[in-house]
Parts: sequence; C-alpha cells; structure tokens
Amino acid sequence: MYETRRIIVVGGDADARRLAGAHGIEWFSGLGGVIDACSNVTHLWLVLDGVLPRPDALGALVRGQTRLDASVSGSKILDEGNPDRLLSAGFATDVFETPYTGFDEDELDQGQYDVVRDVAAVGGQSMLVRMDLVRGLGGPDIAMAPFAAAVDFCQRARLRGARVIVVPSSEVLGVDDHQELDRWRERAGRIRAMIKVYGPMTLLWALPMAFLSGFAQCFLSLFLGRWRFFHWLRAWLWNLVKLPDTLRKRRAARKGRVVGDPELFRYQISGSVALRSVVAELSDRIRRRLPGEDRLSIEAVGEELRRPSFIVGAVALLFVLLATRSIWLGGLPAVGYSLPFGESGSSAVSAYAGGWNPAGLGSVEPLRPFIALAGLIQTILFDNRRLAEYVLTAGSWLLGIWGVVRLLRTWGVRAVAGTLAGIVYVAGPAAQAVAQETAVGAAVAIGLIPWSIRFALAPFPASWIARAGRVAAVAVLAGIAAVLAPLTLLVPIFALLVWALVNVTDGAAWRAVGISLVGAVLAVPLLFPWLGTADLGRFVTDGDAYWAVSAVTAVIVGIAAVAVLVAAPQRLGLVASWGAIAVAFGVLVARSAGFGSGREVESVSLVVVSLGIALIVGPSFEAITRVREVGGWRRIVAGVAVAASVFLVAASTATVLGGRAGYPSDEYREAFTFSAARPGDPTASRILVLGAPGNLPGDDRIVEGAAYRLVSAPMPESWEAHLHTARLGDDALAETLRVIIGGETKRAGEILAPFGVRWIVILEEADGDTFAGAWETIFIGQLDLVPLGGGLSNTTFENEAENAVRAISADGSPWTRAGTGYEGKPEFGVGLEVRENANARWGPGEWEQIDWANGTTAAVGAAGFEPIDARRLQAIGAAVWLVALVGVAWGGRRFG
Amino acid sequence: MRRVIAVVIVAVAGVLALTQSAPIEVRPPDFGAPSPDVGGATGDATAWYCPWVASGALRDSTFNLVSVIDINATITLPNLNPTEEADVAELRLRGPGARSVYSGDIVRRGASPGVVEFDDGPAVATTAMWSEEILTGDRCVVSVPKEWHLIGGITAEGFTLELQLFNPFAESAKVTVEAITEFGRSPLAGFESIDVPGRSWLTEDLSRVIPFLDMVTFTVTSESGIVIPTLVLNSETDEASWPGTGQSTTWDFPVTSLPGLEPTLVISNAGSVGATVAIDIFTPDGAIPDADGRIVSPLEPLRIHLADLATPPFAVRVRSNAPIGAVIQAAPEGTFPRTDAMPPEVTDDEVTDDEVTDDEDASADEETTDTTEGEEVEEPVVYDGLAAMSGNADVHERWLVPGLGVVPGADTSIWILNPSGDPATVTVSPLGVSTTRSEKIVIPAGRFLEIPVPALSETGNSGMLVDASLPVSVAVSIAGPQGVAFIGGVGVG
Repeated sequence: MYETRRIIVVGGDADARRLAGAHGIEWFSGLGGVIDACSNVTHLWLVLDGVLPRPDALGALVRGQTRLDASVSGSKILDEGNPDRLLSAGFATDVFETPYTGFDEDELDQGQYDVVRDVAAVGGQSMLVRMDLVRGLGGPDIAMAPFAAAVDFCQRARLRGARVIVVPSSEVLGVDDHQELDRWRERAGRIRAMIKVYGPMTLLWALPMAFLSGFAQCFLSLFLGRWRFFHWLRAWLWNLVKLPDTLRKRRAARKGRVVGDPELFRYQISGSVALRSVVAELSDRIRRRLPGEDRLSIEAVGEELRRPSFIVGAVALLFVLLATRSIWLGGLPAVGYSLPFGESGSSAVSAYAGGWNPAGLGSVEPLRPFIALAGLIQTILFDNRRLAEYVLTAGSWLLGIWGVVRLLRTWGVRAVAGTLAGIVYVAGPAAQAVAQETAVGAAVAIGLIPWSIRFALAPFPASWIARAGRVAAVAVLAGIAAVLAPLTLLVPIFALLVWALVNVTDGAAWRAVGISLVGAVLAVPLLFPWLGTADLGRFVTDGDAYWAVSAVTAVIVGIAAVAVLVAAPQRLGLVASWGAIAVAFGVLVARSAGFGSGREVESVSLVVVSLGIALIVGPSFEAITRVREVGGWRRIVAGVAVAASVFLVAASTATVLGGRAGYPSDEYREAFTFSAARPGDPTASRILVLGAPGNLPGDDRIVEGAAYRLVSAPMPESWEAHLHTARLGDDALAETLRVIIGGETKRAGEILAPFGVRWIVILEEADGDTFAGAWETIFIGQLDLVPLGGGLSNTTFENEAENAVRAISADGSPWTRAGTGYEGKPEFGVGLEVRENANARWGPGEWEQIDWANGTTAAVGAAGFEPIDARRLQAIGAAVWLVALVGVAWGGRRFG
Repeated sequence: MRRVIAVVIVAVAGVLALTQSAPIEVRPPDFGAPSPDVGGATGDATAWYCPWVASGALRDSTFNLVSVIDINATITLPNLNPTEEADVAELRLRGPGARSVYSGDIVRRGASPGVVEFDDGPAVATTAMWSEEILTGDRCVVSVPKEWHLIGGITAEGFTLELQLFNPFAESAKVTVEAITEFGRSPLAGFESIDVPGRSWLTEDLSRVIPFLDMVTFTVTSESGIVIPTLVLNSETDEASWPGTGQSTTWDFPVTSLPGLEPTLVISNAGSVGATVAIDIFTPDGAIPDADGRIVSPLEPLRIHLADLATPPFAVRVRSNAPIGAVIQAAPEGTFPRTDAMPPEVTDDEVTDDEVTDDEDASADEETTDTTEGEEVEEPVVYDGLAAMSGNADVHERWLVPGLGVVPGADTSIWILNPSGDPATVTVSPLGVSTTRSEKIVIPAGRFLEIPVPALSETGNSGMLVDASLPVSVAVSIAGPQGVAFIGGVGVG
C-alpha cells in the first residue's frame, strides 16, 4: 500500500489555498518546479483555477484513494451556478477520447452516482494523484486544453497500470464548460491524446475515423446553425505542426506500459460521442418541427405517440424509407436520363465550372447545373455516389411531404391531412410520371417547391432585416430548385399567381407573388455559367411534352376536385380551387408537344400538377373532419372527395412495391456492365448504343430513322445524359453509320474503332422491336464483330478491330479515362490522339487537330482539357452568391 | 362565385389539355432487305462469300477476282478449329483487271469456303473447282438474306446431294432447313434449329436423309445469325453446285446447255398461291415468246425438259406473276428423270428445224473448220457432265465476268443474252495482266451470243468486262474432259 504522508495542493486560487491552510498543507499556484523540488511529497491535489472545493473534498479523496489503492482519484463536479446540478462524476470516453458523462441535460444530483468506482478519466477540476505517478508521467500535458489534458493524463496513467477512480463524496463546484469540448483546442488535445496512447493498429483505423466523424459532425452542425469546420481543420493542422513533439511524448507515454489498448477500451463507449450528441440534438429539433402542435417532452411521450399526427408522420417516414429502399441498396436505377452519378464528385463540379462536357464525343457545351450540385453533395458525402443519390432522393421526398404539411397548415389543414397530401405530392400520379420520365433533377426539386411557396406566403416580418432574410430564403430555395431543374424557377411564381387570382382582393397573396418573383430574379445568378452559354431554345423544345395521363387518374382527380370544391368550407374550397386550376393548366402544358414544348417543360408541368393534386387532397381530408362546418348533403359530397383522395393516396403508396421512388426499373446496368468483365480496361473504350428513339440512355441521335449514341464503358454516368449539338466527330460518326447501314462495308468494327467503339449494344424495348431488328440486320452480317452471349439480354457485339480506344499514343498504347481527361503511360516525344471532338484546349503541350479529334503529347502521362476561365469564374461567383443569400437569410431570421 | 369560375376555368383548360394530340409515332427504319439474287457488284467495298471451295490431293480450285478499279482484296479461309487463326491472303488488283488465286496456294486442307473482301468496287468474285473427274464453279454471294431457296435437288439413285452451310460471321447461326418434294412438304428430322458455329461450315448429306426423290427444293431460314447455303450435286460423271437464291418474278439463263447435254429447268413456288409462269426461249434465230406456260402450284416443284421446247442451244427467260425460284440443270439425256407432263406441241416447227440446221451448221463451223483438207474429220465435241446454275434475276448494261480460262484443259465461253426487242451493241474487254483491245459485237433483238474465251495460259486474261447499249444478261460455261460448269454472271448495278 502506497502511504499518504505529505500532500501538496496545486492551483485552485484562493479557495484551494484557504482549504490547504485549513488542512495545514502546502499550496503552490502551479505545477512548475513542484515535481523536482518536493522529494518527500507522496500526493498532489491538482485543482483547476476558479474551482470551489467543498471543505471535505480533499479528505474524501484521500480516504477513497487510500481505501481502493488507486493512483488517480477525482471529485464529483457540481455546477457553481446551481449546486444541485451535476457536471461530472468521472467519465467514460469514446475511442476518440471525447468525455462522456452519461447525464441528461440539467440532470440534478440526487446521490444517484454516489458510488466510488473505476472510470476512464476524471475531470481536471479536482484530481488527487500519486506523486510517483506524476513524476513517471511527467505531469499533465500543458499543451492541451483542460478536458483533453485530464483525459490524456488518466489514459497515460492507466497505460502504466494505474487505477483511476471517482470519489463522489468529494465535491467541488465548477463552471459548466462542456461547450468548450467543441472548440479547436479540445479537439486538438483529443487527437494528440489518441496519438500518444494508442498502439499502431488502433491508430490505423481510429485516426481516419476521427477525421471523418469530425467532418460529419461539422457538416451536421451546420443544420444547428454552428460553423465548426474551422475548429475541425485547425485541430488537425495544429497536430500536424506538433507531430514531432507528440511523437516524442508518445514514446515517453508508451515506454514502460504494462497494459495494452484493450485495457483502454474497457471504459469506452462505442461510436462517436460528439457525433451522437449532434445527431441527438438535430433529431430533437426535427421532432419539434414534425407534425404536432406541442413540443415533445418526456412526460408527453406516451400522449404524443398516440396522436394521429405523430403516427401519420412516422408512417410517412416509414413510407419514404420503404419507397426509396432500392436506391439505398443500389443507387438510382440506370434507365433513361437517370444515370449513376460520376465516380468523382469533384470532377463533376470541375467539369461544370468551365471543364469538358464528356457526353458522346465530348464538347465545350456546359453541363446542366444539376451535375454541379450533385457533385458537390457527393463530395461532401465522402464521394459516395450511392449515398448522394439516396440523400437527394429520400431527402427530397421527406422535404416534400414536410413542406406540404407546412404549406397546408397556412390554411388550417392539420397534420394528418397535410401528410397524406404530402405523400400524394411526392409519390402521386404526376410525381410518378416525373420519375417515369427519369427527370431526376425535377424529381429532386419537388421537395423544395412547397417550401419556396410557403416562405413567400408566410406573414411578412416587420423589420427590414427580416424581410430581406425572407426574400433571400425564397431565393435560396427557388435557386436550388432551379439548379436541379432550371424551369422549376417558374413554378412558385405561377402557383402563387394562380393563388393571387383566386384571392384577387387579398394583398398578402399578391405580395407573395412579388416576393416569389424577386426571389426568382435573385436566384437567376445561381444558374451561371450554364445560363450564359446554354441553347435555351433547344433546352425547352428537346423531346416531346406529352403526358399520356391515364383516364382513371384524370377522372379520380376530377371527382376529388369537384367534390371538395362543392363541399369544403370557404377557405379550404379556395385552396382546392387553386389546386384544381394548377392541375388543369399543368396537364395542358404537360401535353403541349404540339406547340413545340419539350421534355423539360413536361416534367416541370408535372410538378405543378403534383402540387395541384396535393392542394386538392389536403383540403378534402381536412373538410371531412370539420363536422360543424360540413354537414348534411355537403358531408356526403365531402365523403366522395375523401374516397377519391384515398384512391390517390393508395396509388401513391404503390411506389413502395418497387422501392425505387417511382423510377422505372434498371435497364442499363445489365446491358453495359458486362464490359467490365471483358479483358482490358473498359474505361479506355466506348459503347455504341443502338435502338429506338427515346429508348437509349439520355439523349440520342438519329440516323436513317433509327437512334444511336455513344456512352462510356463500363457504365455511362449522369454527366453523359444530355448530348450536345453535333460537332465534327459526331458528323463523322453519323456518316460512318450511314456507310454501315448502306451495306458499303462488312467490317463495321474497323471503321468504328477510331471512335473508340469497342462494344455495340442494341437495346430492345420489347419483343419484336422493329428498331432493334433493323439494327440487328445491319450488324449481324459484319465480319469483325463478335456477338457476346453469356446470357446478355440485349444483342451485344464486341469489336475485333484493333485500337478501339478513346485515346491512344502514337506507339499504340491505349489510355484510360480519368474524370473528363485521360491518363496512360508517359512516353517522351510520342504523340497522343485523344478521340474527343476537336478543341484547342486539349493538352498538355502543342495541340493539333487530327481529323475530328485532338493531337497532343503523351509525355506527362495525362491529358486533359484546360478549363474555360470565364465560366469557372462564373461558377465561383454563383457559389459565392449562394453563400451570400444563405447568409442574408440566416441573418434575417436570427437578427430580424 | 369564385368556385364556379374556378370550375369553368378548370373545365376549359382540362378540355384543351385532353384535346392535345400525341406526337407522331416515329416510323421504324427500313435498312433494306437483301437482294433476292446473289447480289450485284456496286461501287462500294464488298465482301463475297464463297461457300463451296476445296483444295486437296485430288481437287484444285481458284478464287477468281475481277475489278473495274484499283482495289485491295483479302481472301479469308476460316479454320474449322476455333483455336486456329483463319488463313488469309491479301493482294492488290490493278483495275480494270482480273486475277485468279489458287486456294491451294493459301491453304490446302480440303474444304475451304472463304470470304473475298474488296476495299472498293465494283469488283466481283467467283470460284472454279476441278479434279480429273469433276468440274464445277459458282458465283460467290454478296447478298445475305435470312431466307434462302435452293431449287433443283435430286436424291434419286445415281445422285448424291449435299447441303453446305457456310457461316462466315462471328456469331453462331441457328437455321432450320425445310424440304419440298414432288410429294409436297417433307419433314427433315434433325434439321430444325441446326447450330452452325461462327466462322465455320457444316456439310449435310441430304441423300441419306430424304433418299430417292426426283425433285427436292429446300428452304433455309436463319433464326439467328446468317448462313450462306449451297447445294452440291454429284452424279456418276460430274459435280454441280449452285448457291441459294431468293425469289424473283424474272430469271434469265443465258446458257442452258452444251453439246451432249440436255437442259432442264426446275421451278419452285414458295408462295401460298399458284404462280403463272411463262418461258421464253431465245434461239440463234430469234425469240420464241411463251414457248411454254405453266401454273406452278405451291409445294409442287416442277422440272421442265427444255429440249422438248426447242433444239439446244438456246437461252431462256422465265417470267412469273409471283416470285418463284428457278435453276437450270444440264446433263446427258436421260440423266434427269421425267416427272412433268408431256410437253405442248412446239408451234413453230420451221423455226425449230431451222435452228437445228443452223446449230448443226454452226457446230460444224466451229469444230470442223480447216480440218477438211485431207485430215481426219474430228467428231463434234460432246460433253459428258453435270452443270447447274441459278439464274440472273436482273438485266444490266454492265457485267463483270471473272474466272475465264482458268481450268486447265477446259473450254470457256461467255454467253450473252439480249432479251430486249432491240439489237444491243456489246463491248467485251478482256481483263488480266495483258489486257488486249476491246471488241464490239451486235447482238440482235431476242438472241444470245456465245463468245469462246482462250485459256488463261495463252493470254494472261482471266476476266471480261461486258458493256452493252441495252440491259443484257451474262453467264459463263466451262467445259472439259473433267466435266461441265455453268456460272452466272454478276451485273454492275
């Protein structure tokens, strides 16, 4: 047993000094010099400045420590402002050294933790340590912040086999500084502590996890209005600078250790305490905003769970999870315009910001803004494209349902009716049509539209700051929706204009139109650089806007609309009128191919139709609950409206069956990914896809009445969906196909090889597809095309001709695709042919045009397109503008 | 009131929406069905498929190429062993010119069907094959339909009939062979969905499958992939081979027989209703329109002994009101069994008599000229062999004729038919290494002309370019002690 002969008190200001005097022991203001000077001291009582120890705090510590033969003992810490409130009674930690008390917020001390026990660490406010241990460990790490230093000291002690206990009968009063845990110094200290104590194997996984979980925490903190990225970044940079010193300290700490990492893990909890805390806080906030008038409290949980709004909300959440489960498992289905996000999110952003458009044989035509936003989100989500696709889809659905609930609440529609309307909004017939059209951008933008309208309709605040914030918020919402699908910029304006016309004398409605209009104007810069260079005429006329609406759906929606118009109370009736007009005009525009409207117009019109149906369904469910207002024959009519609405809700829930959020089933993965199993690197080549117009991935081109296009192997990505205006290479390819169709060659592979075509896939829409049959007739009689069997469902050929690659050096080495550029073996003094449409920005080095393609050098092992500066600047400007709008919106809400 | 207005607006917009018409459906493309004939020479790069070629210890064969312009040609002989590469010969042909390539110089391993690819055109390929006992030859095929008709099969005693199925493409083909005999449709057990692996060929001995039949017509239909079929008929004295064709309403046969051979015409109707067929005979003295007329019922192939209509030699045109298939076959009298009804009376005996007289005179001219002066009078050359040829479906003003004089010891002739009502001026230009001057000949209306061609070894020319002022039809005969072969010409279209 280590005897307690002489104790010195270190730190703790006047209170500690007074206490030391009362006990007749020495007091030192700091640790410096004490360790070496006092040779006969057996224990040190370390007390943090500003802490107020109870009179028996030291005595209790000594007794407890002596009884349990511990090396480190800590006090119970109570809040100085409210001495009944617990701050800590020893800690557990997670693997990232974050302290975890296990207390509820504002938990009171009722003696529930008054047991002397072993812990991972004790707080630095009051800590009695054996002097020999202090000497052995070199004392607390003065480079660390208090929490981290205490944890670090205890961990190092435990590494030496020392016992760390908490003695709750020893009480000190301190300041609640838990918020400091989130600051950079504490973060940095924890990272340093990890490096110092853990073994190499633990560090190998724990450090990257700490990095990622810290990033995730920072990201999620944004939703709590906390900006933590700089703290996170600074903590890691600090450790980078301090690394040599940390490694020295690590050697000292681990020298003479008697236990390993498993002993350190004993008092650790799984997961990340910091991340869990943010998620819990976020969940709490969301829960408070979920349908339901009252805030959730523990006492009211039982009651809340029985509330219809809570149940419907939970069912809605479950519905979204079920209806999007396939996307969680495998990402968006590859069909039509829905193609997997790119391998690299940052490449997508770069390609949008003045880079190369890789669709077909490539061009300088700008990519759609959706690509940039999707790439940005993917980058944030650890470049996990499947996760990004899921977050966008499921997030849009949740936001959409929630948004409709909030929007309808404006007119007193309660949560149940609102939620059901929300489900019809995101998954009803029109929304399903958007998904069936594989208009991914519009499908995602659906989630933002109700919010945009709601923000414009909400009571206008009194202060100018708040007003500016409101307009900026509308601009942000409208802008993000427009980035996803540019024409959705017009949807809130149109919808609110209809609402204003329905309520022609209502000044607030007209003001909402104005706010929406100003917001839309402010959102326009977000569409640059796409807006500055896009062919808008082609954008709105490409494809045919013709929604083949089912007669059953039309009749049901009509019945619901008429019934609710007749039966609903005045206010709900007007909302339903608004919805009915939106549906009628939406359907009209969605079928306006005869006026030249294209696919984009159709999908945005369908969003309007979906919104309109929701505005009919919500009031119909609400009206039936207004027993006093809706009685007699009107009640029967309201019942008809409800029946029709139930049908629409049931039709919406059909999306659960596929679990693909209404999208068609995947067609292309099986059709194209075979190429990954073929010898060689598939990314070096392209696939020529043939079939019927409208049945190919994304846009197609037409030759002799049949459709074709080039896609990247092994799988086309979302940035390839939209083809550019035909350029030199595209014309050459069309001419080559005419030669093949004309039967002028029996070696089609040979003349397709210069376009990088290694595979030909003929997509068959159904048995007896005459387009596919026609293409098969042409390609089946070619001498250098080998048909691939192996259970492929589409007729597929492999090109036997040599050099069917996208980029090739003069020495014949194929280069592979890397983002929008190429990489391969560096060959000095050797030329490289990049088989993309000719453009002088391809490099590096001297550029020359080789027929329709590009000639550059293979010297550096990489070739790429030099970005267009003006467009890059515009993209940066758009991002800055978005941040500014968000800032104004946040400022208006906070300070207005 | 507002609700009523809303209902009215909705109704008007809804009606407008519902009256919007759907976009016009895009019509599926027509990338063109393959020609019913074996195909013609065009100004493009082409590939010619030659399904029956063999070089071995006994047989020898040539690929005969002719081109109007300078071209590169590649002859590819696939190997039945899929692990071995095909044998390939590449050559340059200066145009206009002709060249014959011995397949044995490329590889000598028996049956070696091949593909001749030209990187430009017009260019044409045929084959000739001989041994000491047989002589045969064929046009190669450039058009590859999914359904082929092979007319004129015989499995009677004394004949062996083989079906060659050549798949020059990489994709395995699955084909079904159906037979129509004099007894109607006859099932062919084991011939449903036959697999023909890519870049290989199959030989089916039909004599064993449906023996003792005087008249068999086959239809080869591809379910997947494509094959090029050909029939190979062996008699006791010779071998004949002819490719599959499509169906046409007109077939021209510029050559039908040689001395010692009796011509027969085999017609088959693969349609569902009877076809009214007229046969025009073109003698050296003039045309005999509608020399015969028949109604050819579906599933009832018909053999017509043409010698019953006129005295050979003559050319023949077959006209029909529905697509039919037709093949000419020639062999010594009595070789082919008589299955048709008695022939109608020849209406113009005088013409026939004259023709016979003229023919005899002509034969005498050709064969005995300059031999009367004290020398022993040579017997007229009489050939003993078997020849068959599918007709020409179209007439052209320009024809390319390769493979002339390539068979050692055999006589080669070009036969030109002018089926029109006006005289045709024909320019024949020999093609080869020592291209000689062209010759102009006038062919009277409704007549045919035989132009004997010297041996390749004498002139170095193995091809001929035929330019005519009117559309004509051209064929080749090769005849020698080994046997006889008729080869259809290839028009430039």
